[in-house]
Amino acid sequence: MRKYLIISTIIGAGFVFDGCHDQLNPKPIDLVVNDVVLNEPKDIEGVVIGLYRAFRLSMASTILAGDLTADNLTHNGTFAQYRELAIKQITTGNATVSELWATLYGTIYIANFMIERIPEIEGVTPAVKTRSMATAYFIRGLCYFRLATTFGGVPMVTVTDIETNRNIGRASKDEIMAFVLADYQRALGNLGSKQPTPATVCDQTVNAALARYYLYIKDYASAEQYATTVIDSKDYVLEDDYKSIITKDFTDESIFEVGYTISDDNDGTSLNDLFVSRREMIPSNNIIPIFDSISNRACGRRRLTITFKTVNQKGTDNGFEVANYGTAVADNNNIVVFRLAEMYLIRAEARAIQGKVGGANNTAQSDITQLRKRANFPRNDGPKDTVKSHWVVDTLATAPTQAQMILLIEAERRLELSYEGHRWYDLVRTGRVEQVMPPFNANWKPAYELWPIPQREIQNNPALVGEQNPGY
Amino acid sequence: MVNDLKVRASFGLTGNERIAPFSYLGTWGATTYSGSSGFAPAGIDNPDIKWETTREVNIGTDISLFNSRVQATIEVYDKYTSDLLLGKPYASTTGFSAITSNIGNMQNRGIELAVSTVNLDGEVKWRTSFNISKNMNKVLTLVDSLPLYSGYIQDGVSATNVIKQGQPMGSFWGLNFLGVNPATGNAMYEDLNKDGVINNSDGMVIGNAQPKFFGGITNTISYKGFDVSILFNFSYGNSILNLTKSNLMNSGKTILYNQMREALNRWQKPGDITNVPKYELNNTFNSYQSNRFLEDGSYLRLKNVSIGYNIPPTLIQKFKLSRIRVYVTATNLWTLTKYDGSDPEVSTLDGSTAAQGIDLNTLPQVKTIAGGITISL
Repeated sequence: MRKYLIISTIIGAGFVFDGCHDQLNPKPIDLVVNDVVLNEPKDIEGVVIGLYRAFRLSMASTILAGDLTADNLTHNGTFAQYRELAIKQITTGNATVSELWATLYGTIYIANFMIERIPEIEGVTPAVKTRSMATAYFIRGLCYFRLATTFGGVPMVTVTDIETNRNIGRASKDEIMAFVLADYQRALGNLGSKQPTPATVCDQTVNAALARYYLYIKDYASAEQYATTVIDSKDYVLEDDYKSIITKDFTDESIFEVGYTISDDNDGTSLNDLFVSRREMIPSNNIIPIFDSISNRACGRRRLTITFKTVNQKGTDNGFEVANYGTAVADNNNIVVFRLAEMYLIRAEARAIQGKVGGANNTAQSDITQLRKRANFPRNDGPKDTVKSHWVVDTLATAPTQAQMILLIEAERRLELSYEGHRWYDLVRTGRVEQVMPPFNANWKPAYELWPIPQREIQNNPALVGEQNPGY
Repeated sequence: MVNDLKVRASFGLTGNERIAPFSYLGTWGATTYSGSSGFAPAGIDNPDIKWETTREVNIGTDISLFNSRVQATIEVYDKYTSDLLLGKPYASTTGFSAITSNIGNMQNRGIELAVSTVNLDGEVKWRTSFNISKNMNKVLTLVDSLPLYSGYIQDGVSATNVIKQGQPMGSFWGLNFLGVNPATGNAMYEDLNKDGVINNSDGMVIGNAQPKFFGGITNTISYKGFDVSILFNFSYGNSILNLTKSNLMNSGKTILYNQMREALNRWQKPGDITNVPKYELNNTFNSYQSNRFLEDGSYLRLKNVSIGYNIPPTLIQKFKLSRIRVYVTATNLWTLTKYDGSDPEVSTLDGSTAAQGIDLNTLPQVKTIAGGITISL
């Protein structure tokens, strides 16, 4: 009896020690740790979703960079970060500036994580491996393209090692742009054909990104070539009615857009909240005549980009609002990254600069005509426009001179792509910014052709000390 | 004369249990994108993380004099917190904007004195209790020696508060306002680094929310059925960052706020000597975060007064009642302060150790007067 007692005591003590060990070293229940998140073939899909979601977080501030830094929006709220961008008194502590920087590098971290780990996972089929690696390269390229065009040269982070990445200086803008091209090329041909929805990327998305890339680096022949590849693939078609661009997600012409569903609509900065609920920013008085004047016979149904509500009109509030971004329950809460109309505009600009201005085929004129025809879709359901003739568009029957055509395309981009994050980047890229911006706001200065390196980054990354963009 | 005298001392090491688990691991949490579920990074791994330790030395004495009519307690303490755990801003190039880590060492030293006396103990009873404390907080060392910013983001500098070596935790950060240029009407700030640009590099510690001393005094007097209790509390030497005022004196940064009467003193024409910069729509420079909005938050406040009367039992016994008490109580009845805002006892970011003493659209504490009758059967 006594013997049994001793044995059971030992066993009991064993249980006690074991239980104690579990209490002192509990395992995370609702979290996964680095070492196991990407270990098996089945893990890849979840991390790819995480990559897209991280990229999605950067899109709201991208839109604000493109439209609020330029002349498309006016501040109508209370937040200093938006006011600074709107009234052209941008400071290095601006929270939207830090948000764009942090969300892009947050995305790059996941891309680098995938690029480091996927090759080491055993049992992955070559197809899955190729596609997931290409996705990581491509999204990383998109992030660096955005960083280089917004901030100039930035730290080139290519690994996940924290000690390396917390003390890393700026590479030159040219080095970053070369790296973007390398990433796009690593992705091209490995992403396959069109996906069920444009919420994920395919090879045509890379072609679209390359068309934009070459336009920005002024290689117009290549820009035209890649835009043509996307257009000729016939994977995407211009929506019949421009209204769909404003009111619908996943249109037929969408090449890539970041997707929200009802459950994750509140993830990050909400454009609907900024543009509609809070009216933190409203269409500027400078852009309204372009959309809201019957005499502008270039606009047509693109005037649905902004809507007017009498109830909002008071004081300095002009009563207009940006219509592109709906609430969680609406069908237009996604943010478009690339769509076919931009490819036509890229090609038109590339052709115009190369001298292919007028003519029925393969010219800037023929590309613009496509967009004008679509904008002219004969409908009559706008609240403010009761006369059908308001929608009528001059479909560009005759071509203007080359110089006029280039300016016409600039205006056409504003009509077609407002509130999709292009305007500021376009004006800086074409060098027109110093002509356009000072009349819009006297506070404008050439330093604002780039955003500042966020102050918090300089404070927390010793290699960035003294590396601020000039003028800040 | 001395009824009781006690001297005590204590020494101990304590930890901090308010720390999220798994801070040492790189973790991923659930996320969704366009209808699919996946993983998103939740925390950066920090294998070097350690427990925070506070070493506290405490010496106190309790003394009781004159038949216990005077009782006093004096305490002196010295707390040394090493490996202070705090969320620390991190270079976003790592993919993460903050990391929970051991940011450095901090010291709190202080003295507390409490005295309670029985002044009169006859038919009139009068008791007084008084306490006063002084705490000196200082961040001794920081890992990397780099300051950490906290609080609000304001125009001009990165943040309203800073954790900096040699300074109290969460000191106020801002520019040094030098006045208004009589020729242009613009605000003048000290260009500390002499680079010709006014930005965060010209920021400095402009004050802190820690009082030099604070305390309270209660007097209780009773006579027959009447009793009166009066509580004052006070704080001396603390600063308040009046962000409400920076909106209400915003020099035209935005037209969304009504402005204070003081805005009438603004600079209007060359030669005007004033300390209120000119108003110009959309101008943020003239209301940059600076010591212009920092104010002395010292106050003396009549926190609570209550007056009561117990009707003598002999009068109510025939109604079979054991007790009737009539009373009036008032709180926050009177405040003596130079502070411009609505209430010197504020902290908008209450609970944040790294950003105290900010007044941003804070509602003042209510002034209440309540009366009542208590009847016991």
